[in-house]
Formats: sequence, C-alpha cells, structure tokens
Amino acid sequence: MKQFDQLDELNQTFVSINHKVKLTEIEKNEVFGEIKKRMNDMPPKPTKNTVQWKYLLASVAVTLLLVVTVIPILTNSGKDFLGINDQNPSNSSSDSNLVVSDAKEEYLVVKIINNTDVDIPQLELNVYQNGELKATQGSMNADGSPVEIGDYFEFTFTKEELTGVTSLEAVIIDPIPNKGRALFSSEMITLTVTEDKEYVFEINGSPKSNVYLQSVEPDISIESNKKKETINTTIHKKENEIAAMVQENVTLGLRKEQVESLLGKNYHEGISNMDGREYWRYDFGNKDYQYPNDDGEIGDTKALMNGELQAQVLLYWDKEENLNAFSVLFQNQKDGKVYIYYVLSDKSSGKSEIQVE
Amino acid sequence: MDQHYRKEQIGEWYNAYNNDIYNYIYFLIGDHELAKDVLQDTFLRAYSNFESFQGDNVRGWLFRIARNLTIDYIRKKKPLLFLVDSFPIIHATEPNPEQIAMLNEAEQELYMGLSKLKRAYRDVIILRKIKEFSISETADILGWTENKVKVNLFRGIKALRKELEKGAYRHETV
Repeated sequence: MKQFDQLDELNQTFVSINHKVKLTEIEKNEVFGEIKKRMNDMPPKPTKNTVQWKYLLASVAVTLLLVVTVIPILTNSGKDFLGINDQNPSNSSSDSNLVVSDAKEEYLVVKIINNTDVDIPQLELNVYQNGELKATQGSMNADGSPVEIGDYFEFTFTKEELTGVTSLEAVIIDPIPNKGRALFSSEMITLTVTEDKEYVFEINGSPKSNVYLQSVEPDISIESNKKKETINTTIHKKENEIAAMVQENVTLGLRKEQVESLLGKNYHEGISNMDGREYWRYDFGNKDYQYPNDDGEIGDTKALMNGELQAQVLLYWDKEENLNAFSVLFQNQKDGKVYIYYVLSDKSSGKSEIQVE
Repeated sequence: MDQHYRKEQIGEWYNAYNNDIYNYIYFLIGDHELAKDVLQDTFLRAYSNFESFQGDNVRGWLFRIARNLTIDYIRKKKPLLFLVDSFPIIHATEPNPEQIAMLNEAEQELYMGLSKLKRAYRDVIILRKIKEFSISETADILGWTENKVKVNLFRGIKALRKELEKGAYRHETV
C-alpha cells in the first residue's frame, strides 16, 4: 500500500523480511543435533556399481584384451603356439576356473521401467528399512545416453540389502554441467521382499512434479502408500448429485468430447502450474458465480460453503488428450461439510473431508 | 568419499546456510515446524547425495533440494489435484503468530501479499528478490529458462503491487 509506492521501498522490504524470519539459536542447534544423529545412524553409502560408465567401459575393454591374449595360451592351440607339451593337464582346468568364477553371491534384481513422459539420463534407487537408508544405487546407460521412455533401469542388490519390508524411492538425476544436479524424488513404495525373483516397477508421472513408483505385477506383497487412504469413497446422490454423477460416469482415459457430452461445454481451461498439464475446471453453481483466484487449480471452498457453488470439477489431460486425473470438490448436503473425491493418474482414488476455515 | 569429511562439509554448509534455507522454506509453506523438518531433510538429502554435487554453487544446489523436498511434501499431503488452500499452506487471514509478530507493518503486508500470489510468481519473487539469486541461478533452481524467470518476475511484481494496493487480507481479518 502506501509503504510500497516506491519500488525501492518494496525492494528494501524484501531484504529486511529476509533477515527477520529466522530460527532461534536453540532451534538451530536442535535441528543440527538431529541431522548429526541421523547422519551417524546412516550406514556407509554402498559404492555405485553402474554409474562410473567410463571406468566400466575401460574395464570391459581390458577384460576383452586379456581374454583375447590369455585364452589362446590356455587352450591347446595356445600351447601349440607357445610350443609347450601337455605336461601338466591340471593347469588347464584350474586356469579356466579363474576365468569363470565359482564365487556365487545371491542377488536380487530390480528393474524400473521409464514410464514418465521424458527420457531419463540417470536414476538412483534408495532402499529404506525401518525408516533408515539401507542402500543407494545409481543406474544409467553405459554410453551415457538417456534411458528412453519404455526402456528400463536395472539395479542389482545383495539379499542382505533387499530383504523383508522395504521401501523404495527413485531419484531422477539430471546432470547439469558445472551446476550440480537437479533431483526429483518419487513417492515411496513399500514392498515385502519374500522371494528370490526379479522385481519390476514403473516410474510414472512427470519429472519436476509428481513422480511415483508402481509395481508392474499385481503382487499382493506390494503396497503403494497412497492406496491405504482409499476407503469409503462412494458418493450418494443425496449427498451431492453432481459429485455422484461425476463419480459414476467420469473415468480415466475419456476423450475431451466424451467429457463435454457428460459435463457440458461451459468450462475454464488452463495449464497447470504444478506440472504443465492442460486442465479443465467446471464450476457448477449460480449463474453469477465468479471464480475468485488467478490460479485456476484452487478450489473455492468458501463458495461451496455459502451455496454459490454446488460442486467444482478439475480434470487433467495427458498429451494424447485423454483424461489423466480428476477431482471433484463438493458440499455434502447431509452433513454440510466439504469433501473432495479424486482419481489420480495411477488409478488410485479417495475421498477426504476438507477443513474449511 | 570419506564419511568424516562428508559430515564436516555438511556441518559447514549448515552453519553457512541454515537460516537462508529455513526462511526460504518458510516463505513457501508458512509453517514453522514443517519448515524445520524440511530444513533437516534438506541437509540429510545433501549428505546422502553428496557425490552428486558437482558444481561450485552449493547454495543453489541446497535450495534446489529444499524446494523439491517442499514440493514432495505438499504432493504427499495433497494428492487431491484441487488445491484447497493456495500453495503454500499459508492462510492469509491467519498469520503464524511467532514468526509474523517480529515483522513490522510493511513486512507483514508484504508477507500477506506474497501468500495471495500464484505459485509461479511467489517462487520467482522469493528467489530473486528476497533470496537475491541471479536470474541464471533462479532459472537453475526452478528448472525454468531465464526468459521465463524474467517474464514471471515482471508479472509477479505487478500482481504483488496489486495485492498490496487491495489490502484484501486486512479487511478479511476484521
């Protein structure tokens, strides 16, 4: 207001507010104490076995060179080449044991298919047990090229690292030369590792916003954290007719024209600030209702409470213009409370009460 | 990488940037306790991903981690698509008493005005104006182009001035 008539004054206030909001010394020490404790509790980070691709390539080249030069020596033709007679037949067998190691360790393989909307240069997988980071492993293509959509990352863990109730978190790492790396973490997925088998997941969503892991197999031992919340979701007509109709008729994968035929053509369209997806918003309410926000993804709970709105529906579209996710905000006519019903792009759904201030 | 060295480095970074990152998170989410939690997680994430830091701009790297963790948190708490209170969780009519009490009138108005802005504007104003990052650094942290930073900053400041002129939050509290 008056204080900000001059831009200089506004700039001064930006600087001063930065210095005012701060932690107390006690709080600083408390937070750091907790950081130190948790750093000490973390096991030493395992060596990444696939990230150093240059070394990997060099190792492969050296191994090939050795195989090419050593094998002829160990074989009969090698002996002929060196002019050595078959004086010690046991050498041959013991040497071949060096080439094909019999040291067998037990491994479990985790594959993560890139089902996001971009190619991913590098993925890191964090393994947590009892809330603590148990192991971290990176994976990328040996030639440094990104793993394309539909292709997969592979991680190999020892049985000791991956056993029992385990939570996995995928971190997309995007190398930016000289500037560090941008990190995008997936939501955590929890599974119970009971068998010696290959575990296959998809990484879904869009980096920089909502990225999550999902099991490819309908394995009952794997639970998405989100799905635990999905209970009692049915909306009855008596609660809210529009919301009940949306729940009954709107499904993921619908085309735009199908949604228009269900809900009409009176919608506001925009681009999501969260992840750049296109969205449509329907405001079902009084004719003179005016949406109050610049940001079209904010629910108008006030209008729902005062009866200006009966329901508000938000729909997100994927690049192929199929319905990717949606939610409906409504007032329950029975208890007067505001609820939201949502269906996310991973097909999980839920209904929650919204606390209206 | 030596664990001891890594811990020492995290300690040094914490001493240098704890307030800087704390109040950045606080401006994003408006919740003191939560901002402390995310601050803690930021340094733990930096510790566990220490090897992935390649550049010389550690402040920008820590801010990027802090921002991503904040968004992760909001995503986890609000997987509902409709944001029912504008991101962040700030309720403009209910300022957090402890943190806001120490602000003078102009600063309180600025804080409230910021909370009314759309996320993109708030993001860029906090980084450019309050945290004083360069355009290039802001673009890196947000994952935007420099042009997008400039455009959103221009529009954001305009929107902020409009909010400050409206003073709507004042009347709502009465």
